[in-house]
Amino acid sequence: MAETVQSRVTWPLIFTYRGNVFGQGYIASVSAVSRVLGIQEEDGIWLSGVQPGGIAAGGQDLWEARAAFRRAFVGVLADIASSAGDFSAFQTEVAQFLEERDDGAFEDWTAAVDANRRQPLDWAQMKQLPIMPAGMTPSMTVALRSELTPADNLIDEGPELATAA
Amino acid sequence: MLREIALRIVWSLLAECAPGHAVEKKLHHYWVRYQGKAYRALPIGRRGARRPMVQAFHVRKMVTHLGIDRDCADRYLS
Repeated sequence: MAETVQSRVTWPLIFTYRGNVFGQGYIASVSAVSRVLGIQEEDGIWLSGVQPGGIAAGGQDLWEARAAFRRAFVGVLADIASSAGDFSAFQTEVAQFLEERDDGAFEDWTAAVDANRRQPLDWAQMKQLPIMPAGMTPSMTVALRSELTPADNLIDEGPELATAA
Repeated sequence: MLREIALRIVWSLLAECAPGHAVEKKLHHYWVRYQGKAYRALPIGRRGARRPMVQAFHVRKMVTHLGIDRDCADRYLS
């Protein structure tokens, strides 16, 4: 009897974010670099959080998925701010969010980096992304803002989504 | 269109397959905590919807991230 082997098409990604979050009586600036696994599913493209692992978002194509992931990421930060009573509690919960790696997704992400180095997949949308070093360390830096100035208007020129290579 | 699943099925899955789990409703998402980890991106669903739905991938991701018994979860997801 023939055996059907299903293998998912995956792509190793790095998601970066910079923004200000309004909490209860404080403003925090957040700067994050995280690992994300791009997955081609039957119903669209999904971006699955690796570290932090407790997040995902999808769309019909990569651009829709990227916008949805950014919304979800900002939404989680807003969720944290809504329940953290002060800046210190916000900082602690953000650190916890980052710490929770999806170990299964991390194995897939690492395998996807290796596979892509050996023979890059022919995934046209993903190939349009910039490339960042896969050796990065996921991080989320949170700083308390005592006052805001016009210099805090962020014109983010960095890549929001990049291929890890 | 992204495949969807009724939120009430997700609650049934958690009740049977993730004993001791906790669900918190936040501003934008439900947070599901289990075995020391949290899935923080389960959508709340459209406001006012009689039968709130969530995209099925979220549920599969939650199952793997939280280490929920896959065989048990598959009975709800298949």
